[in-house]
Amino acid sequence: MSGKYTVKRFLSENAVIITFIVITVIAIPSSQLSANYIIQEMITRLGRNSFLVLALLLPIYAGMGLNFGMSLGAMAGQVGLILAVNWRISGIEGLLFAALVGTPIAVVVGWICGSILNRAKGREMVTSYMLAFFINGIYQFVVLYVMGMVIPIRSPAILLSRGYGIRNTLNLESVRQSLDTAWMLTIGPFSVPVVTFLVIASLCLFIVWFKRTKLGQDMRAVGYDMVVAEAAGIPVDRTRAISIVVSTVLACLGQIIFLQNMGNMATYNAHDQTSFFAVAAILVGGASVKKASLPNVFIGVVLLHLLFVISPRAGQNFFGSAMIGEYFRQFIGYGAIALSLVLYASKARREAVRVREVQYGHGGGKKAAGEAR
Amino acid sequence: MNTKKKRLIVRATLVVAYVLAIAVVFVTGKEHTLLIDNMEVDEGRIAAFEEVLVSIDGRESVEYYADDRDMTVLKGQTHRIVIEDEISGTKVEREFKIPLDEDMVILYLPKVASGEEPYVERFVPLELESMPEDDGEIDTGFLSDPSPDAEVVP
Amino acid sequence: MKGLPKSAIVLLVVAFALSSTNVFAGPAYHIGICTETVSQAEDDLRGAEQLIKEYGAVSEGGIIQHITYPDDFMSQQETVISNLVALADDPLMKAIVTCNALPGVAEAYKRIRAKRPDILLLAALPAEDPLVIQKAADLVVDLDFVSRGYTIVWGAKQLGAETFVHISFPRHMSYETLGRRRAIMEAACNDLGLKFVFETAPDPTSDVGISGAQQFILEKVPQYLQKYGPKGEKVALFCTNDAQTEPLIQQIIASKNGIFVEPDTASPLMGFPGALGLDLSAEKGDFPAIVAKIEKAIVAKGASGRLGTWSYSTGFSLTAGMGELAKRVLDGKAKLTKVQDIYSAIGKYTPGAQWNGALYTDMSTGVKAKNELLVYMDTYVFGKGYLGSTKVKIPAKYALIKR
Repeated sequence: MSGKYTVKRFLSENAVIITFIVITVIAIPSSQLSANYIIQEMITRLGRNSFLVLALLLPIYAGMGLNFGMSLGAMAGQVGLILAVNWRISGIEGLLFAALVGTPIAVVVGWICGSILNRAKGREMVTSYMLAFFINGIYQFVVLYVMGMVIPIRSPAILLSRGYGIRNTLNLESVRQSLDTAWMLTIGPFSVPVVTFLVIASLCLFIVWFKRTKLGQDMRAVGYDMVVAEAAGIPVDRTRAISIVVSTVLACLGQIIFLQNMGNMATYNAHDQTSFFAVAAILVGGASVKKASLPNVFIGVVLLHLLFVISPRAGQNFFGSAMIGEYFRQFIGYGAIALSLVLYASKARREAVRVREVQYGHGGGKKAAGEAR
Repeated sequence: MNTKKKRLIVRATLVVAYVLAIAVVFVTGKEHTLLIDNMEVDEGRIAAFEEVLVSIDGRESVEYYADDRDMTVLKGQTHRIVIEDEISGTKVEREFKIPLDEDMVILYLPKVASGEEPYVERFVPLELESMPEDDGEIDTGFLSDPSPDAEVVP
Repeated sequence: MKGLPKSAIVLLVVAFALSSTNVFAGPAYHIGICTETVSQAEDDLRGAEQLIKEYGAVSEGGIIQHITYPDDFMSQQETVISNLVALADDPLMKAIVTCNALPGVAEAYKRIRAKRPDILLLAALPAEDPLVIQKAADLVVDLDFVSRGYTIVWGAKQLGAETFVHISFPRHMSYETLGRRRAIMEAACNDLGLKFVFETAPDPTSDVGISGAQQFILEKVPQYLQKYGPKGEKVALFCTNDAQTEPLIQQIIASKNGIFVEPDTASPLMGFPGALGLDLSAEKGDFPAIVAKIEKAIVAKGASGRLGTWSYSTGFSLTAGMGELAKRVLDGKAKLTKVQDIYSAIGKYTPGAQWNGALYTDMSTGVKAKNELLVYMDTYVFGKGYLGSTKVKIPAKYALIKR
């Protein structure tokens, strides 16, 4: 390959990251926010969001694309938190309780989600997106009617005064930032939530380890080619379902970590954008629907959230209107997802053309096709 | 057959361990509201402290005077309280337990010092039913001065 | 891929260095105002712009720093909180006003207070539970949902209604204040001899969107009026959502027997200009002229004496009034929680209008909050004049109705 070709390819492969960095570099000075504030905000947001984004990795390995259904796990985590607040279980124990209660729920809904996605092979992303809306309806029903009517709720602070249903916003005072402050390291002007980062690090290690296990290898094989994997005796459907279950459980834990940092929970909406922002982050970090790695996660969280922090102010200072600043942020966030999906689609088409040329034009074999992937 | 049985046992153990873990965090993480009461008991049978320093679970001491009532939140069921009478200088140290299913309990300092059981009791919040039913109006504060310093808004 | 992060870091560091150099001489303090955008609550935004007109924007050396919430604030709590906390990054920031104080504001205020205890925190029209926001903010001002639950029904009766239709949806009913007001309205209907009906409409923040929810109201209101007033009996309608107010007013004006006492977020600009197709650009900010113009249009359409509202915009006067109050407090000319000072600051933007209100009383403990004031204004009925609802005596039992 010639040097020119490599540069072109490098640019096209990293178009999203490059676009983001360019916009960010332009926007930071005009946001007029102090470096201290921005860096602290990045540390906080890495701790808050990384776990959720990591939950997306396994389904990508299994060839199921971006798991928009992770908001199912988020809802399970929220049910756990509601119960922890209800029974007044505080501190780290409260979070553990929420995790222990949320996990079985996440496993069940994850398994349902996985089974449905197995019936919608090739359309996993849109199916999981719709599935999240469906489960959202069930969640709203459970939280608004079943809690207090069937599941006893004893804390008047979270119960609507009509006697059933949970209040619109839940104050998580008793578990607020208990993971973050368990060991808060102060470095200069910055505070670093060490335990949260340890949890994230151990999840990274888990993912690295998992990829080497038999199941992990099977997952990659399934993601690579389902027909070949099936022929090799790998239980394809089961493997795919497991990847979704693990992703859902991780999303459940991730949402608990996210919400303990936030300190309050929009009972009926907190999960709405969970999958969306996690997906945006991993795409901005340079991942695609088919390929993702740990660095993609962290680069993505930093870049996306850096832009989220500075763009409202930057837009405001650019255009002289507070409102436009806010729209600017949305435009960038959604634009990133659209851009990377479009780029991925056009790249896939180009690759397909190239593969065809290699196969038919030069009579090349499997090896070239494999590389193209 | 044997492996099946073995698997069943392992799975059952795991389920039991899981439930046990939930129970453990439930018990250790459970929060209780404690009202600390320094009022005389039974119309003067046990007098309230004039001035007393109270420390619970080794936290920083708080000073109370007669007729004080304070509220704090405790995690877990077994706690240690240290009471130091600032006038006589006597110090009492005791351990007390809060029942798991109580959300709010009240602790009577004079009873703790005299050692009379039970010094921790369930607290029943005052009912609002006794409020006036259909007489009078809502206290609507006072009517505002129409256009207090009426500057014309462009 | 390898070379990219390194060069990116260098670029970012340069950008950071540039960001901290922007220092200029200006006023002694800044006041941050956070409102919703035009699409959610235009009046609040105009209130903030009024303050900017008076005191100047920070970017031009003035004292007002105006920011807005994301449009889908419920699912973007992270942005709501971080945008507010970012205001406290300005060392000159001395007061922050939110109107509406949406969910997330209490948490943002907690974080700001932990970092900058010197900043005054004001919240108007809070969406969070009163006890939560009272603990986080220095001053909370809300509409008096208890009194209005009674006065709106009372107003409907004055205008001749026999049935009162309350239109809302589950998310709103999960708000403590809205849910309680509904119960108060139901009780008031019983006592005043009106029939109370609850109708469910779609939530505009759900998948149907704002246009779907508005379409629903357009189609349903004539059916409600037919159903509850088959022989032309007067039917009063009330809806809790701002976006649904415009189609509701439109259909009530077109009807013969519809009554509309006042919008939930009461304002002459709430729904009326859109429903009547009025161009109010000439009257911008001049509320008496706006009211006169709307009145003329309503009378011309033969709906005189059937529709009412407050003669000034709630969002506009509270946003501007809270900003003004913060400024007066920082100048040492007013005390933050003194009721007369609060009325006086809001009154600057509502000359001639009558306000009434009370301190918030918690239902379960009976504790009267020292920093939450509930306010309401007299209802102005087009073609008829003020109803006098601020002078109505409200039986005390309504304050104790739960749900």
